[in-house]
Amino acid sequence: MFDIQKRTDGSIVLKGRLDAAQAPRIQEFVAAAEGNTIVDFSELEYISSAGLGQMVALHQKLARSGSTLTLTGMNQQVRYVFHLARLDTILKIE
Amino acid sequence: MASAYLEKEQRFSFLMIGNVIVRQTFTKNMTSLDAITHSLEEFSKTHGIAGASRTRLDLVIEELFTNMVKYSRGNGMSVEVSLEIFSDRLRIDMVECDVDEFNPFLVPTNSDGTPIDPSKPGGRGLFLVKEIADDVSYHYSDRTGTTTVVMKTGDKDV
Repeated sequence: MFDIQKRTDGSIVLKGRLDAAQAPRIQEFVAAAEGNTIVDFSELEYISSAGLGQMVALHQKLARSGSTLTLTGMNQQVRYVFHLARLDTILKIE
Repeated sequence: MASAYLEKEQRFSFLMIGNVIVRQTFTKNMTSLDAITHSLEEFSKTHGIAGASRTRLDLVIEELFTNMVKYSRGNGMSVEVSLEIFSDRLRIDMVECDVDEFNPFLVPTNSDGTPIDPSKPGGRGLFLVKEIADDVSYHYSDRTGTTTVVMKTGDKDV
């Protein structure tokens, strides 16, 4: 199962498993994001390339307006996937 | 009702051959990813695959499966997934019948996995598969394409 929510502080929370079937659900959040944005991964168990692509798209969109994307709270396995994809050198991961 | 019956069929149609091979067929559609996840969870628990190994297994199968859903051409409506366990590695075979030839590993990508030609298939998914696998291959004959990946099962974390 996957869920995505926006907190009152504007940060985005991802929960569960973000696979190719679920990744399109992020698009509306990507479209609405503006300003410095935090995405909280602390409740996300798994991510595949589709989810990675959405994070890259969000990063690129925010960068165009001079804003930053920060990814936080990743567990070891999710961080491993970002590393495999070599995105840990491109995206800001805390 | 029909969808619940189909889910049950997908979950309990494991075919055990000997002690080391597991084979299951999934409808070639993104909606099968949930069934694939459940099957891999059962398989992983049974055979002690956890941590980074479990992540790698899930990724390989999902990325190859979604690639087939999106890009393979022909009349084939299902993908048969076989998992064969060796002492320290796993062989994954994914078979599509009645499809045009399409070797996913020939698609050129940039070093970060993005497709060189964005209009063509490829990208991070196949890049991840190639990063994970010890060996990848594709065989095509008589309208049947078989994609094979061999990967280690040691819990090699970053």
